[in-house]
Amino acid sequence: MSEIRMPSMTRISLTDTRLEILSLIRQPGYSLPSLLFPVMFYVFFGLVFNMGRGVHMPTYLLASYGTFGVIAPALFSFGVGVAVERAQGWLRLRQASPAPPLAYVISKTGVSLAFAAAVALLLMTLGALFGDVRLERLRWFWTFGVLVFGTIPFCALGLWIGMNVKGNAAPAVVNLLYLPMSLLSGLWIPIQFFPELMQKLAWALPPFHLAQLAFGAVGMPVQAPAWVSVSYLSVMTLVFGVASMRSFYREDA
Amino acid sequence: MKKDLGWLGGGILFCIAALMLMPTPQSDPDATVIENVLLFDGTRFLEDRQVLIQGGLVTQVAGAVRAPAGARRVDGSGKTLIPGLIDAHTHSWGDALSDALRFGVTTQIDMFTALQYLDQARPARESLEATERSDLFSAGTLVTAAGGHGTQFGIAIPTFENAEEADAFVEARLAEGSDFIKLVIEDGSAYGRGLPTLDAARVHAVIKAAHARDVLAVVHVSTLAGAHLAVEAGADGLVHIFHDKVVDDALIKAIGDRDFFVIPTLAIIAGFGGTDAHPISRDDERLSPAQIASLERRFPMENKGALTRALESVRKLHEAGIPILAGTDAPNPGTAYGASMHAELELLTRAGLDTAEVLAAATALPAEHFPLGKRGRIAEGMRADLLLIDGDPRKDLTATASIVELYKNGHRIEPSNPGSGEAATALAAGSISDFEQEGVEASRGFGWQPTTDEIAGGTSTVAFEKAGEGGNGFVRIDAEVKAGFAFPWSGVIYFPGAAPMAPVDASGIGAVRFRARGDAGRYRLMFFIDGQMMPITETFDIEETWREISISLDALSSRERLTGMAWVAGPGVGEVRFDLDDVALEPAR
Amino acid sequence: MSQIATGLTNAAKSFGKVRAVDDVTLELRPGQVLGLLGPNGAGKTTSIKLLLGLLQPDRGRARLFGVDPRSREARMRIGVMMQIGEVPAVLTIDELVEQFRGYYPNPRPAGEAIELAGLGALRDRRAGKLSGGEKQRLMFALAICGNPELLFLDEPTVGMDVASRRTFWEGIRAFLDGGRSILLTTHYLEEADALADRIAVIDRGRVIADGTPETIKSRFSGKRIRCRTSLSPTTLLGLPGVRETGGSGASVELISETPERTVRALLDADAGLSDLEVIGMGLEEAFLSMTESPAGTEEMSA
Repeated sequence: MSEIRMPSMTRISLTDTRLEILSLIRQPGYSLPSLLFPVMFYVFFGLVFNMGRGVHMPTYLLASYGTFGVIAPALFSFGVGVAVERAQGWLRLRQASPAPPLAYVISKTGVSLAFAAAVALLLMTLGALFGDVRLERLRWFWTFGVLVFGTIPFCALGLWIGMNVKGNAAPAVVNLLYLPMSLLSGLWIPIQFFPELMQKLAWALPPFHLAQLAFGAVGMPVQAPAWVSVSYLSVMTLVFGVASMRSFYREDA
Repeated sequence: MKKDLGWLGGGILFCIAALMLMPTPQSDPDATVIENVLLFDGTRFLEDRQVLIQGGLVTQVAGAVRAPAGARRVDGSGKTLIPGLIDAHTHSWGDALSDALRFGVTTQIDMFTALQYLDQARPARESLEATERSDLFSAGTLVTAAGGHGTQFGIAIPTFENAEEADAFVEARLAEGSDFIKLVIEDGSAYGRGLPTLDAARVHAVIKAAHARDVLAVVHVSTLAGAHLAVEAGADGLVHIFHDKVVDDALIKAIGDRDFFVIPTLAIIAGFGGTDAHPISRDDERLSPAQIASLERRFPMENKGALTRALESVRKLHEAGIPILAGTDAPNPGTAYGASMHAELELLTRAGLDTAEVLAAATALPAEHFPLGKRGRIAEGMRADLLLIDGDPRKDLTATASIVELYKNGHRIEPSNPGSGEAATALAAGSISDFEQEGVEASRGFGWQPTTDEIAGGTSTVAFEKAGEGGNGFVRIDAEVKAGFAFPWSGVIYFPGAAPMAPVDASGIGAVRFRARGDAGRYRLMFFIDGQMMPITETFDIEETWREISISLDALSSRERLTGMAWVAGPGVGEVRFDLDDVALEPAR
Repeated sequence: MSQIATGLTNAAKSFGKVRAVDDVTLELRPGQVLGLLGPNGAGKTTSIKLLLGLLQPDRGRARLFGVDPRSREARMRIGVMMQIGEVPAVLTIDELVEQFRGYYPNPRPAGEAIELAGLGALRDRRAGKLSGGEKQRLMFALAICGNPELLFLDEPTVGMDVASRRTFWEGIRAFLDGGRSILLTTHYLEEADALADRIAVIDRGRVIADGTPETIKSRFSGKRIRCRTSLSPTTLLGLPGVRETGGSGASVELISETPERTVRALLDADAGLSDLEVIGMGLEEAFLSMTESPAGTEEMSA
């Protein structure tokens, strides 16, 4: 057989990402709620009922609902998406194909990032137009970066769920994780309003740490030092990433 | 692949474009954000606040402010931000305003000063320009009885005898620029001597006249009886706590619910007992020699029980809910502008005020009661007179003096310490003038200038010129000393520094030697010391014929900052002529 | 033992206590279509998964072109058509084929793959809107679009009607024109016969027969005759066409290559014969007859 040039992983990932995004766009039934849920929250609590005392609520909530909003696509596209594709056998066909497994993960991550970007831009635009949110240029980019790339640890978590939970149980599992975790991390109600014990508990939760970074990015005071949050999220990415790849290669996943 | 790259590139470009379109805060490189700071807002402590300073004002106070681009960020961790201190009882002259600012006093409420200081006070305190001086509110000329307390300082004090004149008198004070009226009820009894003082009728009339013009009337008292009279007459506050007795229930009852405050000036009363518990060390670089001298001066009398009674009265008044305001009475003996404010704060804690109450006494309360406009609190729209101090004053109140950053009118001010930079040049012994040149010349220093009481409001005049021929030159002074000022003078002044009133270090000088002749009589040589309002005066006698006179500098407590020497006639009124020659300095032995 | 370049060598795979594949040796030769025939649960799918590297053998080994089936090099040379529940419903046939073509270094033109799969008219239709048979053909298109040398077809025509199945076979034959190999699993002997050069019969995890379709067919041809008779088994075996006998007592079972002649002879030989039944023999029956396993073979999940 003559010299064969393997298609690059980048190319495969790119194509897959594009098609995944295309799928999302063609399924507004799935994508719109994920997009509109945080937006609704933000408009409702951040812009209409601005009850801020001391802090500029639209800016504060841009960070917290932004975090809430970007976690969803990561958990759902991985947690539910992967579980369903696994149950349907589509994943197995993918596994038997020459496309590297990492390309699959990258493309799914790409979708989550794109989705997160959409959520972030939507909230930012609303905040800027109706909430008088003003940030220095660098902070806009930084906030965007934190919200978009901050989804990666949640992609890893979602992937792990998708790889280990049965297809029909995945949505329940993800929701059971996503909603309480968001609440307890202070994404809906500022954590300062919680009893002390719950405030301490929040430190154990991943969304708390992403939200901390987001607060830092928009210039709000933070409770956890950035290095703590970054370390937490990095370790989380590593742990679930490795565990997921093991699951991926596990027999008959 | 092309399609994929198109999507990717398009997506990224879209995001960048969208982010570039996001609105940014208006850029303000002059803005300052103080972050992570413990805030005392004038009333209470608030943890972990951010304060935004823009255009001379505090524009936001929040957990997180929305700062404009380019704002300077100051990390306030471990520090406390408090409003600039307000000294509610000073006599502000000379370098009072700059001396006070170095210690965090951004506003002084003066209880009597020379009118010349009032003129600049108003425009200066309305400005938001960078300045190294505190703002000044002033009573201007005090209201006292002829020959009473307040007339002893060498400043002409108008007085009146009949209560009917009160209206016109108050009107005149306000026309001069007084922000409020200060009355003196002082019979000297607390100091064991007799002084003429305002009678009850005049006290009532003046307070009524002040209130008719919507200005405050505050009263100097030293006795409980005086306080009773002031309260009965409707005064708005006492500018000292009396110290002959502890407050009685009758007074507290008489004050009742009305707006009334007391500025105890414990710092000055502490000095009566010779107490020196001043938290500011004499080595503090912010102290000028004048401030040190002022701290070291002592009242002649001793009254050891005064402070105990004063503290007890303040405690009771405070418990009764009567606002206590912090004031120092600087630069009276034992106090110094600015520095003594920190002593006063400490003394107030001894009267039972907690840290927040003490700080409120030095910030929000005086601003509210006088009123001083947008001062004394840290809130949106207030003037940005702020102190970023090291530590937490709730743990250690002396933190108030550890000023890390000082903001005046929103500008970060780093006042130059008086010791640093401009150490006075040493004054060498030897001849100053032999008057053999053309004109009135000096071999060094700025030279000779006329001096009269005009600068203190008097009307005396003077003329001087070079006289005498060929090796017999001298200076001839024609002085006309006129009544109009309590201590009138007229003569010539020699400025040893490069500029008028620039200090020189005269510690190497033991005496001034000169020759003089003229209309026989007693004349004075006045030594002006940097930062001291009152010159140190020596006298000498002149006869018709030339005599050599030598005057020792031993009377000068601080010879390091001599600013001028004046040969003057007075206080006797009349026209005199005298000649001076061969002025020289003799080295110290 | 000789190394098999593409295939299984003494492969075994168990799931818990269930032995899905028990010592299977199976070689795929270039240019050959191997039909893997067996009832449900016989170990066909497990064998394929071992070959695809989706499962690892407990014992023995699996190889594709002499390398580990999990390697990208191996997978670039194969195409796989599997039984799957759903395809991404909102992507079109065109898009899915494009996606899979992108995985291969030297793919077949998309149009050609789609035409071969008989989906030429439906290129822009979304996968979710396809009928069961069309979905199967889409899977075929995905399997061949990478221009593989070796094609795995796992029960490719399950659920298709006769006509679709024949069209589909044509597509497969067209694919074979390039001299490629196929591993086909099916439980239709007819399908194996129509496509395969060689058939391996697998049951309960073992290859029980391996040969040309003619050989296998001959073993599986014939019909089952059931009756109550007093004739002895020896007599029965002597009847024309009878290959095997079974049963107990009065109730017997015969397997005959020429059932008509056998029945005639049977009736001639025993006038008291009753309850005569002649049953066509499906693959299941063939397996049963071949392996003498009791009816109701334990279902294997693999």
